[in-house]
Amino acid sequence: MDIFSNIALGLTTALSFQNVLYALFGCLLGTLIGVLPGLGPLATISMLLPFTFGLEPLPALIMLAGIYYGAAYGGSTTAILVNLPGETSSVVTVIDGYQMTRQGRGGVAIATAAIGSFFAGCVGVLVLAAFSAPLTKLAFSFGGAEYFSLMVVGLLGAVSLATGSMLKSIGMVIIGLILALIGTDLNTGVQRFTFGQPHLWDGLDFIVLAVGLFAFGEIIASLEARGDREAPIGAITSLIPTREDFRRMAPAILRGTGIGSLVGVLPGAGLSMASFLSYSLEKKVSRHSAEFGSGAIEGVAGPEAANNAAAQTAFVPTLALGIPGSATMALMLGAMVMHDIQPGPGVMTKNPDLFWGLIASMWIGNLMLIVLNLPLVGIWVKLLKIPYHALFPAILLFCCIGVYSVQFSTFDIYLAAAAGVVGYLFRKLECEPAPLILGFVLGPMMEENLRRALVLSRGDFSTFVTSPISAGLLLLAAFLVAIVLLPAVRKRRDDVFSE
Amino acid sequence: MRRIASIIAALAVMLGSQSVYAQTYPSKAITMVIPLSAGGSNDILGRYLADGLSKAFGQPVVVENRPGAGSALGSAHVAKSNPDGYTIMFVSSTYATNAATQSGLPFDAEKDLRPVALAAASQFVLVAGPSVKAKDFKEFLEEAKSRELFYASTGVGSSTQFAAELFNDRAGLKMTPVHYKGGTEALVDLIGGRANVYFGTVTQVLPYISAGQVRPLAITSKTRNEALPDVPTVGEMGITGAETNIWWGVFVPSKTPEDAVVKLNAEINKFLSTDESKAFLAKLGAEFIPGGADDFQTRVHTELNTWRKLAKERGITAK
Repeated sequence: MDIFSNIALGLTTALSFQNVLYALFGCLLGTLIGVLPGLGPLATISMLLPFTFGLEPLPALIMLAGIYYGAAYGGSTTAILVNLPGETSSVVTVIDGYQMTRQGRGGVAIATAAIGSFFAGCVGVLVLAAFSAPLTKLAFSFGGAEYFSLMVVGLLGAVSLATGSMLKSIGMVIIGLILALIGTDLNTGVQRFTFGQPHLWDGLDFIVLAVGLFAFGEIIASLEARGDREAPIGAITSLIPTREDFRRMAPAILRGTGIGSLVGVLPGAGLSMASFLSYSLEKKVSRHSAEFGSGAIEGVAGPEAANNAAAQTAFVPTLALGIPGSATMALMLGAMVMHDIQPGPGVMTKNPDLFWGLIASMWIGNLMLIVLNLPLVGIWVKLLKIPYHALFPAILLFCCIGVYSVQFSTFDIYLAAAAGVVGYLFRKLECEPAPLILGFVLGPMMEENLRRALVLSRGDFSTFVTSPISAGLLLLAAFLVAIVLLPAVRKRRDDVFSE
Repeated sequence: MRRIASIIAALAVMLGSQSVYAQTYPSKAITMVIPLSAGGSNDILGRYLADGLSKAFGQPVVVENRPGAGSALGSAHVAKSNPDGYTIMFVSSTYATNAATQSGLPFDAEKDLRPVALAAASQFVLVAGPSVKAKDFKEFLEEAKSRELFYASTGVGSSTQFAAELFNDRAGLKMTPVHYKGGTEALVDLIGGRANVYFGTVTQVLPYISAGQVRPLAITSKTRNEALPDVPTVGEMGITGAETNIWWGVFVPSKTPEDAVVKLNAEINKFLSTDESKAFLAKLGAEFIPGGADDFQTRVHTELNTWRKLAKERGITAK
């Protein structure tokens, strides 16, 4: 199979006027819903799905795919500008992205995210085109033990997310883990910390927690600060990254793309894991690690590249195996089935024009998104010039709509409000919410995989070291711990983590 | 005499208003609550039906996803809605399995909601991953008796677990569950050789069967499936009473007027029996089973009893 002729076939299919139009529509809509907190790609795609039944399969899928990665772009915009991560994968973008906005570099941060995403998207598409077959094997070799070990690495990375005290960030991770326990236990059906409330049976929703801790908390803190300080958001000085910015973001984007392409393939890990790992890595390797948490451009470039690369390679298991890595992917899979395309090992040979057309359209979509987004940066940034007395109520309103739309429940809005108060307290105590969110997201996956691995090994703990992948990941985790704990490197760590 | 006359008059008014209701229903938009999350076959089917009904009624049928607590939150919401025929619910057989395992549901699954029409049903296929040596069902029974096998389940009290436990019960096996968040994760572990067998829906497992990644051993229906003509039924293999299916249907608040129930049932039957609908359902591996509201009610109640009994015997409870 000649990859170039395949790509050529894909490009000719995807570049028809009609298909380009659908890609454009999908990308626009995706960006829009990405910017609105709460309304995610999942809800949008499911609402649009019935309308696509009348379309040809390819344009329908191109449009839905456009929504999917358009939302990933849009989500980082709110994360950077108003401290509101619209989805799990943009939680880490908040850390340095919002700090950049406060320094008047919000435009640069959005441009960086767009450039990083574009590059990663392109590479991700190539990886998808070239290595589908070997990558699917990797996806199957990950079971309970392997995922558990990957989560251990991720959680250790979580501790490094914080800029302040190590102890506090460990504490925050633990609070996140505890909050994640709320809900019905998968293995036994026992309800934990639900206090008889059916609303809590499924646990807390990520959006509820993120909106409360980040957006609400930030608004309360800003209102308080107005009296005695300058407005927290600095004037926008420039939109275009400087040469120095480019020099610093380039390696971060490259590393992020690498991590994202690999992690995206694993159906159980997801985009958030890719951006979390990338952030931890950047913080470890960067020569400017002291700046992390106060507006380091690498902290935006790396994770954004990682999550977009992962968004592309997540199509590997979906297309080649028919195994979706996320709920959104499951929906894409449903859309394919409804259009008489059976995803699975046969899709490349049975519908080559469709497979390669979709892949080529992803690349076109990425190009479209950067063309769309770079000029939009100016407009998004102008939003910040809106006076607070108008901006804050609007943000609050959109947040509440987003939170309500998750389960159509007012209970969730109260929960978000409570989380807002807690978020404000954390700010006062100088505890950062990012590690908490990471603990919250990774905790359940880690517990689930730990217990599943042990059920399958009939309680034998050696299962975690007899698998080479799992053993390798645990070694890496041990290495991370050693770096932090060994007295010889302790001083260096203090330099790295010092405020 | 006057009293009788007034009763007759009142009755006439009631009848009159009822027939007016029957003629005019539906005169405004109907809300279809799907108590499950967006995406997946439940949602696709529900939205397809909503689309068909809105064309038949000439009134919009608006879908509202109200997921949570395994369909319990949305069901409770519908149970408490105004019983005027303008709030209906589309749900899967999770409705029955959930009620059988959960104590303290915020509604009464037998009394608060009334079954209106069965929309579609599908069966489970018992598939084995590469970790199982058996080539056919007979060999599989021997293997399952000689060593401890794991069946993948999509959660405590899920339809897949009930299918597997019923099979365990009737075949005299002791397979242990290993739980996953969804069918996808279960299949990855099955194909990766970690879990041993899984009871999946026809559509879900068909691509992996064609690709040779999993092997079908038996199907839990009374007759063979067109898509899998070589796969024997559990009955053919000598296991009696292990037939199970997954279904989707429409419910309304129990005090909804009879006229609305009759009309909804008639339109659902009419729409789903068209060739176009049959072709659509076939893509999801499901088929339409015609019937009245009472047939569906009997099915739901029989199933609730079967699952409650099985849940008690096999200790499948959520606390």
